[in-house]
Amino acid sequence: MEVVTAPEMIELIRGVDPTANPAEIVPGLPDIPAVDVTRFGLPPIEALSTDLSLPVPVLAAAVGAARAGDWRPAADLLERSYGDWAMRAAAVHALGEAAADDARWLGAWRAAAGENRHLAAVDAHGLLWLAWKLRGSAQPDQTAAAQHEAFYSTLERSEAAAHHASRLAPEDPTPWFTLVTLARGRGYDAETFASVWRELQARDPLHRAGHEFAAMYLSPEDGPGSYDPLFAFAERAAAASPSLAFLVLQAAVDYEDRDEAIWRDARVLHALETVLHRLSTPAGASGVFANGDRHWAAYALVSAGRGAAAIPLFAQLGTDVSARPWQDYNDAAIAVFDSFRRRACAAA
Amino acid sequence: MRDRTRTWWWLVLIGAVPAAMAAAAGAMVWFTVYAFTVSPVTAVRIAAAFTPPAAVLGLGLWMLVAPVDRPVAGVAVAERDEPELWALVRRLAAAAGTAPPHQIRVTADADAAVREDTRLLGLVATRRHLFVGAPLVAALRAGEFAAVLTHEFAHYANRDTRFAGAAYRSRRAFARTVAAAEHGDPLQRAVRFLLRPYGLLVLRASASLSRRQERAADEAAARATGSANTAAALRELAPIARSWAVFRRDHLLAGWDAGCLPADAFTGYARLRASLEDELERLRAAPPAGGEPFDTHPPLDERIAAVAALGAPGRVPVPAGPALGLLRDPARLLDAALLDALGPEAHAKRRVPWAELIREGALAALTADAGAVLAAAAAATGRPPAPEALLDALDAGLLLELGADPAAAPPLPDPPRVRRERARLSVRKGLHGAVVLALDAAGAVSWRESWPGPGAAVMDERLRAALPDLVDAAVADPPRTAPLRALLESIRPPAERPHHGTAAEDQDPRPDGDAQGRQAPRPVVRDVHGGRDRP
Repeated sequence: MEVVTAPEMIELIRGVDPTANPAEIVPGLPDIPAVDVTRFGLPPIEALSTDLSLPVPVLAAAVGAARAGDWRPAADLLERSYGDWAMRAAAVHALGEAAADDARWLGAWRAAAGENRHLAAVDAHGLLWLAWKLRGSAQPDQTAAAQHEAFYSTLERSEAAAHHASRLAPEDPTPWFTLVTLARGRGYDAETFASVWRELQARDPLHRAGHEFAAMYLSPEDGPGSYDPLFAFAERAAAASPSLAFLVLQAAVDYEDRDEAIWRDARVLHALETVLHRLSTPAGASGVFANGDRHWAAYALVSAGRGAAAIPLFAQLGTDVSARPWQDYNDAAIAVFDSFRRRACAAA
Repeated sequence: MRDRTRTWWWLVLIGAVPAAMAAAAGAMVWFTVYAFTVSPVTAVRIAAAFTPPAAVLGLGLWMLVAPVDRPVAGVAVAERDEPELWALVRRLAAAAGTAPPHQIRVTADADAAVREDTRLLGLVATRRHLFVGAPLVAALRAGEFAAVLTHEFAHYANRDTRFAGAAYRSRRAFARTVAAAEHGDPLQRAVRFLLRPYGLLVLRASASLSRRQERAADEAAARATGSANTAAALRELAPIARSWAVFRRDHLLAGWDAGCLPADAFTGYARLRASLEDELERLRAAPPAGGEPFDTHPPLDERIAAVAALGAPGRVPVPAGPALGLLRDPARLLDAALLDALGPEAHAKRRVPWAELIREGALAALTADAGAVLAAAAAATGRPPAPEALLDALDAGLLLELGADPAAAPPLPDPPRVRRERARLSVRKGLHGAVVLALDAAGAVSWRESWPGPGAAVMDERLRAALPDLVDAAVADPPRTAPLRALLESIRPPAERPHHGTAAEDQDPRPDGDAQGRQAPRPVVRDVHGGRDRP
């Protein structure tokens, strides 16, 4: 059967009736109610951005300078914040992406300051980003053999670089976070993953970003596997700290393709309340990952049919579309984010 | 009697399904046409919504009613050529309580089957064929092989096979249609809403019939050939399917593009199985669950347990030893089945030993890798397309130009580092290919089997160089081509070798010496052409 893509179908429907909601014409198409979100104080779709450094201003400055060729603000930030592992994970993640686009600032840094623990952590995570950029985000069967090969060989380099970085900073969880993140692409077996996970846990038992990617490793995604280990992991983490309650929502997002009723599941709703409560506290509302929690909570509220309650979260997120679950939609991240905002506003 | 009733009920059910599908598709078309007469604008919207489900319904309908008299695959086995096999087949059919086949055909598939040519949705049977997969013959013991054949015959002894054939076909069509709508584009997902409840109803209704058929067939096989043989055969099916898939993917066609096929394919298959033994043993110990989401075979471990619980000793005499022993001329027959599956082109291929196949296949792949990059180097330097010209171009800082892929036109331009890395990987592969080709031409490489890998090239011990490291250095930033140049220099015939300064004949002329001389010989490449899939 000829495959018509979703955007083509939406365009077709829009051509017939610009105010139609595609989901109401063809089930399975995105639910995009015709709502003007700016009337609810939300920025227009043109203003939305997937820039990773956006949620943390100090990080945005360092990434901006790095992209312009100046390594010093990045080096300063990493040195100053050493020990704040949440900030370091966010910084290495965003700086790593900048390094994967253009590594000249890393080269200048290395030439000026020599090999050091900050540079090594960014380099390892940058190679992970580079691997994904070389591969692209298309389905495996739409990805050329050369792209697969580049992906695997670059992941191997990232792995080696992460081990190198961990030797330079034995107390730093960040290189182990890089290893947890590449576990899925590298096809770690359960044993190898467990050994990496133990190292991360030993250094930061509540490492937020590490948990997020560990849950991605545990997710069967489109495969036939069971979701039980994923939910068990998420609930254990959520029980350990409300800062990790988002993992249950993340698991629900993975699971919803199998059964949308997951958004009425008591465990998921309980986790949603935990995340919302945490966002209402000063500590929860201001951390490096506060927007991360808001993204998961907003998605969950709309999916659970409580869209109106998500509007304040979308207002606080503003133009930031830099995190999961939207990231999973790759090029469509902004479109999906916008459709969820519209659904939230339509429910008001 | 109850079985008979259930079978008739099943026939009604499967008859109703295509009828309902046709009615639904027809209703959609009619409604759209009707809508056009009322309001063309609305009709376009309706048509947009109806076209995909109508298309899938039509497709599903076609899958259901399409004739199944596929062109028969495999090589026919004449009774005068293989009388022992025919005699065993007759004994097994009799033990299962059914007639022997009109024909035995050996195929290149990892399974066995009995099929009848049927008419009218399976109501009328004409000829009966037994299909025997060559991998089963190659890998099973005679007793296990007999169990598999008895299982297949037993489906016919239930007397409901002709209906079961139709039931099986419509079930598969539904499973395929519903599964295809499972992970597709939004259109297919839309269709899922329409088809899924109906499909699930039909599949569920058919599941118990299908499961009973399978169990009855297992039981018949156990009674005829013994529980031990039947359980062992069931355990062996997944390992055979897995190893055969690897064999066909990685090995059998390794020299195809170079015009070669292995002279003795099944010797290679036996070596592959031996090298995969650990993985196959795991499959034997924990048989995998069914593959397709709506398949209605009972789980394999349940079937094995049920067969073992019978404790049947078996009553049909089957020769001991491997199934190959049942054939008078197994090598010729299995080979013929393999060639048949590969199509007419296969007969024109040269039949070569495995080591030569590996070399031919690798050289063809390496030549393909090297071609574009060498051509780019020749264009950039104005010199003949050789590794030295490529190294000159790298020294001149032309990495990006050498690795530019004219075919690739990404929707968004890659960031600088990604572009450079792509070029580096492409040039690296081409340079590596060009150097291995040069080494091979100089007789400095030997090619070996490396089961389960697709073969390995081992560099001459005297060269003592880790080629991947030298190639990496040559495409690095900045490039370091001297070690690779020295390697290429060292394999040139002495007459062509220019005299270098003061180095005496027995001195190592390479400016950097050998990068590492710890372990020799080293594989030049672990998997010379492509390699196995990664996790």
